[in-house]
Amino acid sequence: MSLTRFFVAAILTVALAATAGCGRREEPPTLRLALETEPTTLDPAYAVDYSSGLITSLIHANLVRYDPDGRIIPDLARSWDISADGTLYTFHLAGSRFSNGKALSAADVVFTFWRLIDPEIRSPRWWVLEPVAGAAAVRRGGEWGGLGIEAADDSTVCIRLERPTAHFLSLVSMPAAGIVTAGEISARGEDYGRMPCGSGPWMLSAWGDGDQLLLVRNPYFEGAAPVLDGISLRIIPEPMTRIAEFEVGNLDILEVPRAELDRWRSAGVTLMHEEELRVVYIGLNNERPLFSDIRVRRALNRAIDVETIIARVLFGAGRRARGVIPPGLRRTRVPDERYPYDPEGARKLLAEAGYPDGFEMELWQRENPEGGRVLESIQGYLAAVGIRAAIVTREWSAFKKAVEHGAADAFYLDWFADYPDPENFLAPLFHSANRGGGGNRTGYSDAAVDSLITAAGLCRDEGTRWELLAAAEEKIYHDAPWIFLWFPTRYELVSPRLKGYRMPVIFNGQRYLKVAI
Amino acid sequence: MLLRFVIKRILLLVPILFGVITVTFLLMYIVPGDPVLTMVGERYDQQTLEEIRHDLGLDKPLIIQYIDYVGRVARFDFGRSFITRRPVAETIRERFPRTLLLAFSAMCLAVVFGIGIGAIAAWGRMPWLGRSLMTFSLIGVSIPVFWLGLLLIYLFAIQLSILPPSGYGGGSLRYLILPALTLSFASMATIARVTRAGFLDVACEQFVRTARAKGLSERAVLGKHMFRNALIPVITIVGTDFGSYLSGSVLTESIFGWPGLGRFIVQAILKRDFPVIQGSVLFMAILFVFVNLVVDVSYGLIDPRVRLQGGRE
Amino acid sequence: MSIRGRFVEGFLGRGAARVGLVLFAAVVLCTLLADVISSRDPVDIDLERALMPPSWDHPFGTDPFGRDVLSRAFHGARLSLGVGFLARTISLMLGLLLGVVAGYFGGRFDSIIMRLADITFAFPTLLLLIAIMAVVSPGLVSLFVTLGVVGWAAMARLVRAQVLSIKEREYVQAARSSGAGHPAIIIRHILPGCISPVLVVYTMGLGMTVMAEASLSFLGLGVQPPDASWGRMISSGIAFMRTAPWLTVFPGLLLTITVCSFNLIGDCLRDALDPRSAPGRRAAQRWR
Repeated sequence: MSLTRFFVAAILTVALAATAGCGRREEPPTLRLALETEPTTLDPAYAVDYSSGLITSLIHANLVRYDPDGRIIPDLARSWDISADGTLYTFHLAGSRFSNGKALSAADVVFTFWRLIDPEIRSPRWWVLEPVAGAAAVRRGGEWGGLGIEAADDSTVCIRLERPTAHFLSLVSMPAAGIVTAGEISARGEDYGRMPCGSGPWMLSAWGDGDQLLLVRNPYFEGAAPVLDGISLRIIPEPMTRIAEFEVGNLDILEVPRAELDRWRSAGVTLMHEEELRVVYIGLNNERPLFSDIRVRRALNRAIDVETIIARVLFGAGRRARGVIPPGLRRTRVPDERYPYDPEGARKLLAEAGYPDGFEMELWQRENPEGGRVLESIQGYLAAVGIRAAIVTREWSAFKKAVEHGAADAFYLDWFADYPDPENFLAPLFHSANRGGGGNRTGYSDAAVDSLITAAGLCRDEGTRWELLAAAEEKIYHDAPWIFLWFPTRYELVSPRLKGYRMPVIFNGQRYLKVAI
Repeated sequence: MLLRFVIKRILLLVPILFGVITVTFLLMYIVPGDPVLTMVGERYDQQTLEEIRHDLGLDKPLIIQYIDYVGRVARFDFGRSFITRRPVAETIRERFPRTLLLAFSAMCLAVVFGIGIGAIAAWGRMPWLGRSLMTFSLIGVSIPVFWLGLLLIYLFAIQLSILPPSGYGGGSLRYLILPALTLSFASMATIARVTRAGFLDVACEQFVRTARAKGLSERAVLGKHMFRNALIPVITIVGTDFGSYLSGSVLTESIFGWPGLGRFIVQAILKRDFPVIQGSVLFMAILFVFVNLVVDVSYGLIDPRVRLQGGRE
Repeated sequence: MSIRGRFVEGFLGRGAARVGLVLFAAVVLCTLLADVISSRDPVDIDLERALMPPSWDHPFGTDPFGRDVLSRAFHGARLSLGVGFLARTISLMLGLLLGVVAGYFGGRFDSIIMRLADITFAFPTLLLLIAIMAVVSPGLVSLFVTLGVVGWAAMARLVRAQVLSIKEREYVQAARSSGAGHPAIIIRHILPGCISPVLVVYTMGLGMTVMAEASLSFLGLGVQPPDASWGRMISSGIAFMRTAPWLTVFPGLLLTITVCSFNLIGDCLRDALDPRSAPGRRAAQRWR
């Protein structure tokens, strides 16, 4: 019976081949994390998604960076001076090495920043250096001569800005401004994104496609070396599977999905939480006649019982958004409540605006099961005041295209901080210059808000700057271009074996240097 | 005869692949969405967007893009992923063996259990056992796979803690068992059913009765004659299902974090990563045709009564 | 005994067929009586009653928005079964038409249609699905169309093979030589001969289509909220598998029972109609 024999032989072969790699080895102390999506590239110039940005910033060091509390601290630059008019930044480098052993000099910084701006490179993140003198001109194909980035000597970098930019240090801390070295970039070419070489505390040791990434200590790292030998980042797309992995002890840190919050709150394990620098909202297409009427926009804000949604649907993992600046970034007064839950008031406003029987609209969302669950409750509240909202779900790029071309009446979306500064919640989302891809997807345009945001950017006094931004926020809250929803809270489970871990305020604020097992 | 058949079938590949390429190409451009929007992230400027689009040749007329693409395929150049900038061929080379491992193990499990269950059911000595096993396999194929997968994880990984919940584990057997089992349920019930039917049919056939009459032992009858004849429908199922396992078992891979081709392709489709979509669709089409060919040839090898013909049927 | 009588006996004589029919009848009954069994509105949101475990008031519990799971599951049956039957009917129509044309007329028709079938088989269904959904917009209609369109090739191939064998039979030859036109021959002689295998494949495919709807919902491509199909209910309940298992268990059981019943009925139909038939090649994508 040759076929039976074939099958038996085949099964045995597979079994033997499989068990060969099965022996349990003593593993070096490694931090085990999970990623929902695989990073696309580890090249700072092209990393635009969350996973890529996170890992890129573990591998590449920046001039300055954020600590877990969201304060700017020295990284490659041991100190820096800012001229009195706020346009000249001088960074003094500490003397560091790349993971290939090569010393990092001011020339590398200049190379990195030039590369980011270089039109040939086509970095989608070149706007990080947009405030630099001449950068915009170079990007549009102008002369390199006017570019305000140069090395004064081996360990000093001078950057001249077009205009004072209060949040410039925040920009320089972003993953896109991670310092690379010319030698590796030209040696690796298009493969650099999978073979990065930075001067951060970790270096990439292996990347099994779709499976996991392994980081090990960068032997040439100059600062206090990480306590642990390495970090493994496993790609596990399914939330329930990630939970299972944590439960059997295969993961050290895990973000808890909302549906599981109550179970873990009472489970007696370490459950950390932190208010995210993120705002969740429904953008209204302000260019549609329907939503150009402020009464309609306000009616929508009053129609939804956000507090109850937070308590019931989010299991308390969020805070009602009055305004757009997350609590963690707020130093000024929270705007007064303008839109309490008031379905009667909402109906009245709609009737005044000429819609006594409500109307039909499309409510777009990007493909995301969690989003779907939230939106159904909002759909219910809108129905209660007569608004028949059809939920339209599209995957990310189709969603984005429709929203940016004004094809959607309204859309459910969130905004993550690139850096912890309220400017990052106002300029991209509401300045009329950022219409479309810049971040302002509602088409909201208000001269007063524009000038307040611009003035804040130029302002040299921190106190005044925060006041200006708060004033812009107040006006936006008044105008209601969004349905203001909530600021989410992030919950993380931490394995009992882990010591020294703190949840960072901003995603790249934790480099796992002091984390021990 | 066999050689002519094989050559003819391989020649048939050409129009099929041509059709697949063309359909893929057209679909990608009908579908709204834009790979460049994924490449530039959440905050970008229009100029960069246009320039990247130009670099990728996405601003050329459709027909030119099509001719370019067919030209590259003819030179076996599948290009690099728009999003990760990694060569498509390299990623397929890395991921396909994992898909193959999972598909092959699942198929082995399905064949072993399916034939076993079918044989017990046909045997008729323990009707209750046969019936409950048949019911078990039927329920297995009727449960949504993602539900089944998560239940298995819960049972074997969390409650019993004898197997890891997910992951590839470098191909280690412990990691393979749960996803392979989950996937195998897709074919197990069908194989059990046709095995049982095959055994029952063959038992009435003239040549088996002759064999019995000749005094061959029950075991020899079962082994030599019935088994061989009942196997043909099983091969058909193995062939078609194996082909579909190879094209990636999207849900099983998602649940078990198995880094195979299925999830990779779905991701590429969702991100409109054209080179990856085109490269992998082409790869799968070749694979599919090849598996079918193997199935057809194996009919002839197992049962000389089946004559190979030029066409598919 | 008449052919029909033999078939009825051959089919109903099987225990499995009876079990399948009873299960299927039970599900259909629930669907039809959804409004009688549960007076609660399946889309009525009441966050105060969210995630209540099964009780007399809500025999299947409530979902995260306080909707009654029982009422949603029974209403969902309409969608799930509707998708299944409609999609299979589309496949059937397309497959029958193209299969008969290919088999009966042969020649160029045959080779073109069969190459198209090859391409459909070799093509990843999901891609086709996303493409169709993008054009028609995701939702019920595109689900019908897509699942239907994807299934035509298997049906056409089966019909063609059947037609080829019938075409050569004496009575068909006789009809042709006596001057009957093509339409008459096809309607009077060819189509009746195709019915039994087509019926079997139709039934077998029902289970797969209902399952495919569930799988697609899991990938986020199914029906749109607030509609409830079983697939959507299960996939959105998965996150609560540990904290509120009733969200997945009840629609999951209904789905499993339904698919089981289709499979049982299909198997028995096949055995009753043609005990010697080998399983035809089925649709390539198994949605796993």
